[in-house]
Parts: sequence; C-alpha cells; structure tokens
Amino acid sequence: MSSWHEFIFMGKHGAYVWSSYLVTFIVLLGLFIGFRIMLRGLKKQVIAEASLKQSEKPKARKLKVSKAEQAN
Amino acid sequence: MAKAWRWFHQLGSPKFLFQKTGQWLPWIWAATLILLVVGLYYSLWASPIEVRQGQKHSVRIMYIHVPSAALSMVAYIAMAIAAIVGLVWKMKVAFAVTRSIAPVGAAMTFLALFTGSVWGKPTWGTWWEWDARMTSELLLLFLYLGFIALHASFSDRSKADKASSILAIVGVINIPIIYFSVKWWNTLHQGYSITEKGALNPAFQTPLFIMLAAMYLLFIALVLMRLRAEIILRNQKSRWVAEWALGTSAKGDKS
Repeated sequence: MSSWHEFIFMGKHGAYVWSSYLVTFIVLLGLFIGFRIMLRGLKKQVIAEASLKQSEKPKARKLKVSKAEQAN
Repeated sequence: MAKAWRWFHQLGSPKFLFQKTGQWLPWIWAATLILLVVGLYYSLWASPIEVRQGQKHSVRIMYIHVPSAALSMVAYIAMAIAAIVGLVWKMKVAFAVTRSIAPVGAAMTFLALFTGSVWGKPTWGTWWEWDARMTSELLLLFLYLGFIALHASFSDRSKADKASSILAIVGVINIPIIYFSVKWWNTLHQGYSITEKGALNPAFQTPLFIMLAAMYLLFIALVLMRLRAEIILRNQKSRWVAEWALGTSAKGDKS
C-alpha cells in the first residue's frame, strides 16, 4: 500500500474489498450485540421474578428469549 | 487420567461451565482484538497485491473469506461431535453447545458465501456459479438453518435436542464433500493453496494466518457468549441462576 488514495479505492476493487469487510463486521457485531442483549434480558427476567412475593411466584420459571431472539 | 475425567465432568456442570466461561471470555476477547488489529493491518495495508492471477487488491477479500469458510466447516464438525456426546453420554451441556454453535456457524457460512461471491465478480466475472464447492457450501448454510428451525419446532427441549442432533450428525456427510469438492470435480473454485506447498506466496501467508487465528478466537468467544445465555435458559429453575442474577453468588459474574 503506497497511499491513502490507494487504500480507499483499492485499485478499482474498493467497492468489493470494503463491502466484504463491512458486511463481515456488521454480521459479527450483530451476533455480539444480540447475544449480549439475550443474556441481559434473561437476567432481568430472573431478577424480576425473584422480587415477586412468595405467593405470586409461578411454580416453574419460564424465561422468554423472544425479544433477544432476532440475533439467534 | 483421573484428573482429566474430573475436568470433563466439571464441564458437564452448567454452573461450573457458566462461571468458567465468564472468567475466560475477557481474555479471549482481548486476544481476539489484538490479533484482529494486527491481522487487519496486514490484510488491508501491509500486504502486497496479487498479480499472477490478476486479482490485484481483491486478494484482500481472501483474508476473511478463507477463515470464515474454514470455520463454517470446523464449526459444523464441532457441532456434530457435541451432538454425539449429548446423545451417547446424555450430557445436557453438550446439547446446549450444539445450539450455541449453530447461529455462529451459520453466520460464518453466510460470510464465506458472501465474500466469495463479492470476490468472484471482479475475478471470475460472475457473482455465482453452481459448481460443487459453492453448491455444497450453500447446502451447509441450509443445514445450519435447518438445525435451528428444527430445534425451534419442538416445544419440548429434550425432544428438540435429540431431533436436531440427529440432523447435525447426518449432515456431517456434507463436510468432506465441501472439502474435497475442488479435487473430485472440475470446479471454478480454485484448489488447495494453504495445505499445498508452494501454492501460496509467503507474502500472503502472514495476513492469512493471523486472520485465521483471530477468526477462530472470535468464533470461540461468540459461541461462549451464546452458550452462557443458553445455560441460563436451560437452568432457569436452579438456585444458582437466581443467585447469579441477584449478584449474591460468591463468584459473581459481571455480565
């Protein structure tokens, strides 16, 4: 690589190279954020349930991932 | 030997695995980021362009295409091994592992197909060709998606685990087909270059090997993140899960 101009345009293949790297970045970041939201969502549900009174507690816990599911 | 088995049994404990992965993840991410920074520096800046085949700068796509394609196959084999462990030894955590690998493996397969297609346009003059390598890799994507869909179609989790594990094991037949496709058939896709001596110029090896290591670590980190959520989902009735959420456990995890 000899110049910033070359770095950005990659000869005539800038669009190909950069779109590959960009899509890879977006997909992997999407997984990272999705999994993070998923675990945090589950944690919140467990906390919400633990704070319920003993009589209001459902017998079996049922966590839902529907909100965090889009990145599954 | 006894020690090794104890370790294996401990990993079978969801609580132990959840705690350990919580401790490992920051280190894995740190190593991943360091390797990624160095790898991207080499693959986007400090490596030469390809002239022999006339790829020019588009050779840089290879540095993400090859790792994601390799991982798409390795991940599937890992998923199938976990499925066998789950079915044979009735190890519940192994099923959680299969379910955690599937989405990340599917993403890697998609990226291999996408980057390959984007590379193919300037180099071969076509986005897509129904040749053996590409078709079998596309089938791999459908196997991953099929695994996820099949798992989601059962309301009973243990049935879902068993059915989707069988799909994972049967689907392994596709892996040698992908791997050997460039040898068995005349494909537009090029043959082996990493494992064949002299096929890959050393100047291209540095960025490729660093990116391979970075992507392997990134893959492991993502699978572990998904696995931690899966463990909580599957052990929601356990006392330690409530303790973890409320931050009262002795070895607390921040995430």
